[in-house]
Amino acid sequence: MANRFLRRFATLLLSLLVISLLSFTLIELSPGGAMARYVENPKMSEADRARIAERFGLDKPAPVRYFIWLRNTLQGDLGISFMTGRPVLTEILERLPATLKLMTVSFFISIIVAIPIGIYSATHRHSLADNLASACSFLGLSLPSFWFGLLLIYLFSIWLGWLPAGGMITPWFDPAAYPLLIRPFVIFWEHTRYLLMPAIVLSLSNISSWSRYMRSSLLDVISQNYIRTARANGVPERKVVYKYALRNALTPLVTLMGLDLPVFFAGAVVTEQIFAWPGMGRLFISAAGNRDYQVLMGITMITAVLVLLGNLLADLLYSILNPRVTYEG
Amino acid sequence: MVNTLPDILLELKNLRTKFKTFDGEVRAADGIDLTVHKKEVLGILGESGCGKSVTALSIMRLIPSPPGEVHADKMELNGVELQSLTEKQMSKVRGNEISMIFQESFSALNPTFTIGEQLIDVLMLHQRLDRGAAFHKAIEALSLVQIPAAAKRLSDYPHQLSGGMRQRVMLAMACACTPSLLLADEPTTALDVTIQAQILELLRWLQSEKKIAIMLITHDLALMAEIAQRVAVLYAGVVVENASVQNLFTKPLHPYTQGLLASLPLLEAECERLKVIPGGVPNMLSLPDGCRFHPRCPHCWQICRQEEPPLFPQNGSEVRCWLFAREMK
Repeated sequence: MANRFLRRFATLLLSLLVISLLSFTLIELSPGGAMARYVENPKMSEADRARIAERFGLDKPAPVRYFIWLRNTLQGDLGISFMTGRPVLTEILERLPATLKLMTVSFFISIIVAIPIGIYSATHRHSLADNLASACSFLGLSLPSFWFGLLLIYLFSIWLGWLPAGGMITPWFDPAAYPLLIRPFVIFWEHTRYLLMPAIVLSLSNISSWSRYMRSSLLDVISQNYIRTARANGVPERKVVYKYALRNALTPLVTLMGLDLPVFFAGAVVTEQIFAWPGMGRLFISAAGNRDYQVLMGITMITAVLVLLGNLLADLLYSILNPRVTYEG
Repeated sequence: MVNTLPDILLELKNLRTKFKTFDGEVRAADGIDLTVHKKEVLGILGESGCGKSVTALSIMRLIPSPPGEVHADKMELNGVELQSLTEKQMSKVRGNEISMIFQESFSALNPTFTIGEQLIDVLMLHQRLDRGAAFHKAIEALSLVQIPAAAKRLSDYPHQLSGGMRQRVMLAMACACTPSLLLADEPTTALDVTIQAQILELLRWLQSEKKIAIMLITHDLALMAEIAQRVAVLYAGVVVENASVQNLFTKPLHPYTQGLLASLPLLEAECERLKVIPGGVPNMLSLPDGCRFHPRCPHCWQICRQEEPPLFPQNGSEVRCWLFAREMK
């Protein structure tokens, strides 16, 4: 068991190294370059530009810069943002909580909605509700999130005026202005009304795919011999499904959830942009626009670490759900 | 002959189990009549696909519908019509009054729950025991099927047990509530010979000591001779011969039964080719007209091709063959 996780950890470090090399290369290969935004500036002389390049270490060849970056990163220093001049790590850590808040809420919405839909579809196969769920999930998978997000904004913010179109909290929101008794509810609603639309947009594709996956996984388990045994021993159908079948059906879903973490990060980039959510995704887009390569690398690496840790967690959870796994290590 | 075993436990009349498939309707059981008396072992003999397991699953009401469809003129256990029970009532009958064990001991136990959990669940369901009492009863049930260190085994997962052990655990689960009827669907097929003998011994003990009637489904003639009192031979969804085990082996009546017995390898016989019944099991989608066995029958004559024979009584046995029609008069 310990050996198994040591090995997993070593693979994790190796993956991070490969990811850093690949993303550094890709960023290097993209057109423009970090100095591009100064080139058109008529007020800058060639010497000014050279000075800037030297200051950021951009005068050195790419492989050298990679190793400098790697050395600094290993010491916990992700570099300085070309745009703001502030440490990349500080910039990211400022934005990370917002992204994690959005992602965690979406993750739980996805689980809470997808699993019951999947169970219902599997136990009522080919019923009207199952077919409807199937149609909706195809729709959910095919709707682009930027379009769906704009549609929600149009409906609930512009037309109905129920929810704010963007942001995370009203800047002048002051909980102290409300009586103590209702204050927790006011705070809760203040957070919820901003979160609701981006979280739904971010959950949509996962709800669609996970509910379908849950359905087929449960159907697969229900046709197994051990489910027939449980029925033959008089276990009532509800218990057969919710106790004996569900645990077996959930194991592959947990793996899928782990693998889908990058989908959340990628989705967050788009969703945060639409709803002006002050998270890492928006930072990423503005950094890409400004050719702020240090920030891009920083976000990529932090995301990679989170995704890999998520997968490790999914693995751990898998071995808890499935007692046979521990013996294969 | 029938009068020596007066107490009827299970009476099955004209069981018809159909499956709707894309290629047409498969009549897996096509009018099966069976009677099981209290405390007896009834053997069900037949080739693969002749409707043995389907009959057992129909009695348990475990045929999935759709595509299955079960109808019998009578299906009474201790005078109670099983077909008229609600699903909830039926789940109280399963495991409590009728139990079933299966041949696939590898896949017939839930891999994600311990043996104890699965066994205790069944006990708590049927005997209204609390967890502690069920725990002790579970140890008792495992000891009954001669599992050594039963208390320790309770916390084992199925994959930690051998095939023979798993089959015993299944037996323990099925017999934990001392049902009046045990349906054993090829319980020894997947086991090696020494383990087969032990399981057989257990079945015999359950029948004689615990007074559990057993419907033993098998294609193993030797096993049948060992343990059964009466035998029903099935062919293509109908009973072709009903006989005591002595009659069946000494005076087989139906040409199919004769063929089966003739195909047994004999130790003392010269090393010659084994006899086979010519032809193969008929396609269940398009059964031959008349007697279903006539294309393979060495005694086939005119009427066999035109009309299906009823069961004719003959020397205390019953046989579905026109050869015995004359003797009826």
